[in-house]
Amino acid sequence: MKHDSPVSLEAHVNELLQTIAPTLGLHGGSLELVSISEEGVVAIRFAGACIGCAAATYTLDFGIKRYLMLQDARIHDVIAVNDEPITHAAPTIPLPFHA
Amino acid sequence: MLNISNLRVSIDQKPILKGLSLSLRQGELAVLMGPNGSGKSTLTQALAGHPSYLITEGSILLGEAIITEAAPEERAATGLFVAFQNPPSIPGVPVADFLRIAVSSLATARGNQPPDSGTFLRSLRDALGKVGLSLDFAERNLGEGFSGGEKKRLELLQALLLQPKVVVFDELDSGLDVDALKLVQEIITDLRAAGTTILYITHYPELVDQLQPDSVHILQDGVITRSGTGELGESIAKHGYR
Repeated sequence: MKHDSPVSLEAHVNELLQTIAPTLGLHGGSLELVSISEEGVVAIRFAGACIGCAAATYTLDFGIKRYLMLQDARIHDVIAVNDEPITHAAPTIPLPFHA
Repeated sequence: MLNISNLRVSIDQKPILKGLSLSLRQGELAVLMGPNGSGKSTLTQALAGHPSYLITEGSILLGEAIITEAAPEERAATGLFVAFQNPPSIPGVPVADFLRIAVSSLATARGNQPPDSGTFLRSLRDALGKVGLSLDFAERNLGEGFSGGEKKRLELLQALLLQPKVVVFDELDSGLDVDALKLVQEIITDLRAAGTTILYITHYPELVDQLQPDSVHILQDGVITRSGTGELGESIAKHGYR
């Protein structure tokens, strides 16, 4: 699971995202891996109820990015490629983000 | 950089510090030693701005700023960081989130742009490596289940990330093993190289030789009774505080 694992970065990122998926699923959301640049920038796309959610940026910054970058030092940054406008408020019950 | 002048501090109306004066220039490493009950921890708490420690006379200057009556967060924004012997635990708050909010709040208070989350996390990873902690340490809740050594390393981590002008280490060495003490020395060397002023409060005169401070001060019964260089530390190690 750790950054010194011999697995490829892509395989490790996919593994990490799978551990996050059930947490996002609690709010009807999900995400998918779009790409990983040579510099280690992981691009993800929010899906389901995460699209247009006002809390998606917070979830990315304080949840997904923190988790991924503290699990694998090869990850330089994590970005979301979504550009949909915000359509709904954040859920009243926050995600239990200890993926 | 840090000028403490004629400081008198009382707890529950009992005077503990009785006119303490101490002046540190920028980049100076000063060691403060003293027997139990001499006022070392009272000085630390008074510098941090603990409301139970009543400053009845005197002043504390950090650079040009008078911080004698400033709130703790104002002191931090001015550039003071106090590393405690036994920092409190905050259940439910991950180390990474606590540090990010602290770094962002200080940046804003100092008129700077807070770092974005990716930049912060990269600097956090660097600092974790320097203090010998694994990356997933930062996902643990603040202080919860930490060993004594991990608590001290968390204080060192903050000293690196919060970019203070003046750091006060309150008996950071108590209970640490040889490897952890070596790490403390390395971090202090790093901080000195960055021009940070350091007040290192300790029980152990043996450490003075290893730290090679610019100055050594002896605190007894609430006042500085002697000041000198490393030789003063050696003398205390041989003959005690008498």
